[in-house]
Amino acid sequence: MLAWLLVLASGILASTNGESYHEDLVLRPLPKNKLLSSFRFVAEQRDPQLASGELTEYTTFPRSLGQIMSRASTHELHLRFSQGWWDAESWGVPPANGTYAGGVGVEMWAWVAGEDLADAQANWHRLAHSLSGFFCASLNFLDQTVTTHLESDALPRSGDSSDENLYLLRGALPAEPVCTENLTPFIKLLPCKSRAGIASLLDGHQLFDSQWQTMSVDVDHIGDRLRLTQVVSNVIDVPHMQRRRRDPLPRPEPYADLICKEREWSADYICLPDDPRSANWVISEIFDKELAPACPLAGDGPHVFVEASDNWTVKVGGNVTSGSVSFSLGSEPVDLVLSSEDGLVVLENKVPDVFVDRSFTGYGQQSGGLRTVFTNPHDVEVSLVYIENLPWYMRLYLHTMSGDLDIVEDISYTSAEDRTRPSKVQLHIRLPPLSQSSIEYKFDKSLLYIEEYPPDANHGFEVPPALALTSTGYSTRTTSLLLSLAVPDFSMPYNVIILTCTTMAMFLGSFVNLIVKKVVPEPLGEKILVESSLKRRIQAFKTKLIGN
Amino acid sequence: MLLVGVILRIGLAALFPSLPQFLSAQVELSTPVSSFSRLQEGVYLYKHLSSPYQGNVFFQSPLLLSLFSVLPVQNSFYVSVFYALVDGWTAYNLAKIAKARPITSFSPNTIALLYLMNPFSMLGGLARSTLIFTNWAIVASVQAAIAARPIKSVVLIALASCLSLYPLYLVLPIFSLCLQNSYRYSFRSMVLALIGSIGAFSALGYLPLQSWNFLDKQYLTSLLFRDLSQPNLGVWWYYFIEMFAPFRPFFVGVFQLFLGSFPVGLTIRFPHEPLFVISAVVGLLAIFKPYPEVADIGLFLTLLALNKRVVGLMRYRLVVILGLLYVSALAPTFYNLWVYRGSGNANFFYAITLVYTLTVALALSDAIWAAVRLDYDGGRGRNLMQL
Repeated sequence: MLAWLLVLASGILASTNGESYHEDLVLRPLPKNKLLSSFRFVAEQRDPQLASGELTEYTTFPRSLGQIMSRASTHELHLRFSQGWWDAESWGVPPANGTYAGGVGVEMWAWVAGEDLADAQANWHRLAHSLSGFFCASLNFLDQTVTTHLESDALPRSGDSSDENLYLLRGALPAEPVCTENLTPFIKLLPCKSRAGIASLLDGHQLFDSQWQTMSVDVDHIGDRLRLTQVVSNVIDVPHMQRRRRDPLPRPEPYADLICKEREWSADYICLPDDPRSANWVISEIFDKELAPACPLAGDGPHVFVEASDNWTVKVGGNVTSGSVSFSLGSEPVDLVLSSEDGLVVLENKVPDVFVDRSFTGYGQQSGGLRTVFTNPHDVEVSLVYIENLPWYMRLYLHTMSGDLDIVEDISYTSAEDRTRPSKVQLHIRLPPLSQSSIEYKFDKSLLYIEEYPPDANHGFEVPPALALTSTGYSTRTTSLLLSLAVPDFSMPYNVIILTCTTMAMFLGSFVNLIVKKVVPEPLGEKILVESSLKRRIQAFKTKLIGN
Repeated sequence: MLLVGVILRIGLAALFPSLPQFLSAQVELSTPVSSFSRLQEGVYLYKHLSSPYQGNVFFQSPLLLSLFSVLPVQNSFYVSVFYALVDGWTAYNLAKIAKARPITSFSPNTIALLYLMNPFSMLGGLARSTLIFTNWAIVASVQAAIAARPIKSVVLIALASCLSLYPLYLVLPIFSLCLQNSYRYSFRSMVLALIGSIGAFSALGYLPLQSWNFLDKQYLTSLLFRDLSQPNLGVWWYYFIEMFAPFRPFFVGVFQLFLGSFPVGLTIRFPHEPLFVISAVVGLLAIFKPYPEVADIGLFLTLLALNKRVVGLMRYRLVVILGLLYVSALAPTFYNLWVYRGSGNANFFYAITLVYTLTVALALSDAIWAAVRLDYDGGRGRNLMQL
């Protein structure tokens, strides 16, 4: 009954607001018993802020987010929460060509309106602070010291770019832990929350116990329409999940289950628990829940896509098929079983356009280098944009750039300012077919003021992931790096103040003593001594006063 | 003698091509306001990308920027030759000063040797600290003043001040030295010459980038200690790391006042010994300016030797020499323990900078005491007493 009412209501509103809502889930077995699940929720409606006079309300688009954005004059917003590492070499291209994948931690970029850059930054500040509370994340630390201003067309836009006064600002917090408290507000944005449709599988315990997971929120304008795209993707290690379900304590495998053989990386016989070959993956066991009935707003189209090779059998309710399959959710909960005789055989993955690896070189806490290796695995040329934002306490020496500089077509560089802005290196790169090239530059590590070190200063400072975008639309991020800076002694403030001041005072004392001094012969000195004694002076004063 | 020193420098740089690179990374030998790799970065940015005064790397004079954008910065050997020649020229000027003051200073050869073979100056030159150019300008200015060419002297001290700000404190003793050696120009005309040449050098600095940004970046960084990126031999760095944030601007003011109060006092106290005042102020700068380095101490020791009789009357020469040796051995060691090995901490290096400060301060007060005595009896008397 309620569902019917909702459908009716949405039908009525659709006539005025042109709204739509769509959700889908892609399940795809990956090599070595991994399961990729990718949830996507797309809500679209006319922008209530643009309509004048008509009856317009926020319907599928959440009002809370809409109001935050309009108050911060934000035209387009992209937010990423990610943890873990996408193993592109064995898993291929992430869902949607990497569009919705973020770097480790939290990443945000937005096209913000403003009369000038300072005004846009003030709006960005407002946006970050509002979203910080909204998503229970430390987005308020996205201040000007970590935010870069990029050219308006540096990152791909889904919306139109008619507006002139839009500034593209981007910032990342690589040290931010992503956890359940970020998922709850994320689910709240969905029209059916997690009670119906594919969102019923979103559970913090399951989602964050994965090898890689990313949550994204994207808001853009298409004409006068507002679109919210929310994506959650993760890669689950299925045997690990099943083992934990069987027995919450991690116990060693019994010896009989170990497989002893010569490994490709060692000539010796080595016994290890091997990847299980036969797979029987029950969704309600992996996700702790069955798929709930469809969200009434979510349209009719197929909601769940299973992408698997033909050796996989997919059982949906009573139907058994092999290979890829898609189906819609009905009005009853449904369970899904993926099974295969040889679970290690999966669909062949699409090889990414480019692999980008970044690492530190050098040792010690004074200086270091950044080496980035670009690999083109295809036999066609690849052109890409590589954007790196480095914190201001890394003093970059661009003149030390070395390596395969012939792949760099253009450099755009904004140097950092202490405590004001990070540096930005934007490289336009053209990679020859089937090649590997590397670029390296050096930097100095800076000392900071005592209050600028975090409580665990010796842990190091996270350097945000770099971003690579190819001309074909593939985007990828490098891992974040851990930079260790020299630290002062935190227990010393008073000692240092005292010791330094004492040294300076000692010098001042002896200096003043010498400079006001006159050297005289001994007899004259004694005469002056006598004359300048206190008794004599008082006498002289008396004489002067009373007169003899 | 000059040739030997110059060839030794070039030879060392040619034999060990990685030596300048290694030395310029030592915090005792180059500071953020004099580092050669920062200068290279500035030249690179100036030539290829944007204004070097937009970032947090380059804080040096636009005059150096123009100079090194003409010179082949990339070729390490030419740069070494250039630095060695500048050092040789400085030594030549020092020898000329010594020649002009035959009784009061050591022989020209000794002075040149002291500058060229002195490990502090040599390391500064090999590390390609741009302070070498400031030192050259200071020495050339003193030489011009003694050679009775006051305007040249004033222009050169203006150049030194434009290159690294703090030689401004030498202006008073330089004036006094000029007036002592020549009556051709009045005090007022020299002040006008100073203002004029500072204006001219600033205008020259404006030309390469057509912007006054460098005034803020170069001078305010030196004045307000804005770049804290690495430790140095002075007393500023650890003090301001540890200082509580609200008091930082106050203590920057206090430290600057502290430094600024000495040159005036010295000039008033020793009106007839301007050369001694110049040496003492150089020594003061070597410990109390925000970014001191060993090239400062090299110049201080050499200038002090121009006052032979003061050196003769100093009581703690041995202590000072031992102290400097101690610092030379332990500063790099402790820095290494802190930053590379991780088996020491910042206090190790801080302790050594305190020893350095105390040693040079001892040398200074000893020299001032000697000068006070000299002022009285030329060092002949034996029975002196203090009041």
